[in-house]
Amino acid sequence: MTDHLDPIILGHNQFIGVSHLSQEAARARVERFGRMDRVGELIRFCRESGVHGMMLSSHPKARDILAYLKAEGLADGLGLYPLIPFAQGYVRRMNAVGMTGMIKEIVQAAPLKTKASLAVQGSLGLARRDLTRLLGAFVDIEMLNFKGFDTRGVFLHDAFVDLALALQAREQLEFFSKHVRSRYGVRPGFVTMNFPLLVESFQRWGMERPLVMTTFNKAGFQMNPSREACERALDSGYADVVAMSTLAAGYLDPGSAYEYIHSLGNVPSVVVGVSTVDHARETFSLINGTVFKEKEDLGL
Amino acid sequence: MRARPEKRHQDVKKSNMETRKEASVGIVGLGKMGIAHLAILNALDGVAVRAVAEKQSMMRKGLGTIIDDVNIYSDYRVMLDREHLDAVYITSPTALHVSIASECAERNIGFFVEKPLGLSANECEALVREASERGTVTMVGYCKHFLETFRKAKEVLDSGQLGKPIYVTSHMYVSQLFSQGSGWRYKKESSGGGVLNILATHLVDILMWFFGGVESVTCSTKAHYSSEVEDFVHAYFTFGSGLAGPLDASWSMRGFRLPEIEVTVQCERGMLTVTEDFVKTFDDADERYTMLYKQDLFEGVPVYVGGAEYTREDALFVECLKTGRSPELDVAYGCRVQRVTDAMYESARTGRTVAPAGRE
Repeated sequence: MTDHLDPIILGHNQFIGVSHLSQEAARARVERFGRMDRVGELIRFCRESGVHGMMLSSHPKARDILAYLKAEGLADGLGLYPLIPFAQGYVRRMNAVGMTGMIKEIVQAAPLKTKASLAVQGSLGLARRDLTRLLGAFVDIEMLNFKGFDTRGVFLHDAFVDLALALQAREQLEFFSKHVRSRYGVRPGFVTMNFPLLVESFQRWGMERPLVMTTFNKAGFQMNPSREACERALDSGYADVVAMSTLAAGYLDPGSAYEYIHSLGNVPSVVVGVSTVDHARETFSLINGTVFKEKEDLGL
Repeated sequence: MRARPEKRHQDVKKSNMETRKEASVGIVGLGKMGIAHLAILNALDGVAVRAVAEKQSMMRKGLGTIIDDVNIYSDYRVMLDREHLDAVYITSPTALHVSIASECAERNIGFFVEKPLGLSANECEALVREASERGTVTMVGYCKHFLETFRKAKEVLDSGQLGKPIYVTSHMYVSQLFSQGSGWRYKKESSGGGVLNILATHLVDILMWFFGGVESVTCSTKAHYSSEVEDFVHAYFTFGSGLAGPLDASWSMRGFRLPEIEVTVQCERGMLTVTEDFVKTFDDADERYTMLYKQDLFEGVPVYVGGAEYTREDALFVECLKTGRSPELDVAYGCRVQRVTDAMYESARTGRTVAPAGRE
């Protein structure tokens, strides 16, 4: 089992119509990437530029993307970093059918093996210990989408990580960690908006030094409780960080934004959202010339 | 119910809080918002969640596997009687808000209630009186007040730099419901209504926060996916100040991954548009747009669970418990918003222009 971490990971937000800049920008993305050939063109360019890591949630659109990549021969050698569960989808289901209705749906959709391990008694007669394992069901259902692909890490969505951190739900976070290691043989990752709290908690619990995707940007946007506290947590060296929101959702000038990431000195990987080939070319060259300028072996 | 000398109980509470320097809180209802508040309060300083009441056994069991120093009840009344709580978070379906809140007020326990306050203003009036007489610390979860962009817009409008507001257009949309929904939100008796009482009450709140009391309202609603409640609402407001304009809202609008509020105000000397993402102003004097993004206005929070606004409102409520003073968003305010939504429903039903009851 190797823990390979790609220095540049292509983010998925642009493909699934998400923009943290504005909903207007998000709608433009839905329109642009409604055509799968545009997704393909962009991923092909990434591969040619030496970017072989891609993050993908289990958004319904992501399934289409995966099928397309396979059909077009773009999946070989492409390292996937699934981001699960697809939180927004569950929130919508919860609003539509209620919390227990949603949990019922999850249990029903789980793979047989998972269902058996849940020891489902009747429709919702879950035993106490099984409620932690429900998290395993979440993971397994979502991972069905990525079967047959080269998965290099599985990230737990920040909606769940941040809830667990605030509740100090050590058992559930450890369960996720072990489950990903044992069932999928890859490194578990955690997405968070509370990076210092995560580092402090994991250290206190004596958990394995984690892989963490979290916000790092010059503007301090979405860095809680503050940019300074996040930088101090990074300096502790107790996490391998994949920096996200490096442009503060398209708000920052890329040049100075990546200089800032480089100045941190301790960021092995950056997740980027690029929407066009020109944009990708500019971004990769900037990252290569700033964040990883001392590293010659990236081959980007 | 256990008899308890009220005055003495209050004194005990105060001295407890002084020595513990920590507010004791209970939560009723472990839905989405109950869980979010539980998590935030668990992480915030100066407050401890001591107890949770939840009807569904699966949720109770689930919580028991995660947290072990919280007492879990199936009946909130038992929780209120047994625990020495400074405050209760009421995150149950809307129909139960007022009765639970009243029981808290009777026991001199402060409460935070999720929006909207109730099914109708009628139902809320007695609670407002009781809370005011007893000096109960109360708050209604109109969380948009705690988002940077809306706070900034309020500041700009109040500064008078754009002059008096003349006309306001507003909407709130989300892509949520495209088939018949199930659960309490879509049953009139438990939700009080559809997209208006559940969601667009946020927009009604923002308009009242920005522009003050509503003089009259004309409203139409339409149901398409839901059988009991409205999926679309369109209203025309006239405020006490003379400002007027439309509100449009739906949870069945395509292209809105997240709920989006947009308010555009035409003023004497310029205009302002605010959403969750930005505040844009146009000043006639220099004929220029000024754009402030949420990134410009961002402030970190001690713990982030689903939105910084929830942490900020909880921090404010905890602070209020310490000082013993209710925030602006108290039950009286919640009831004023409710009177406006009531007037909207009445107008939609009768086809007439309606003045909210008890307007100031």
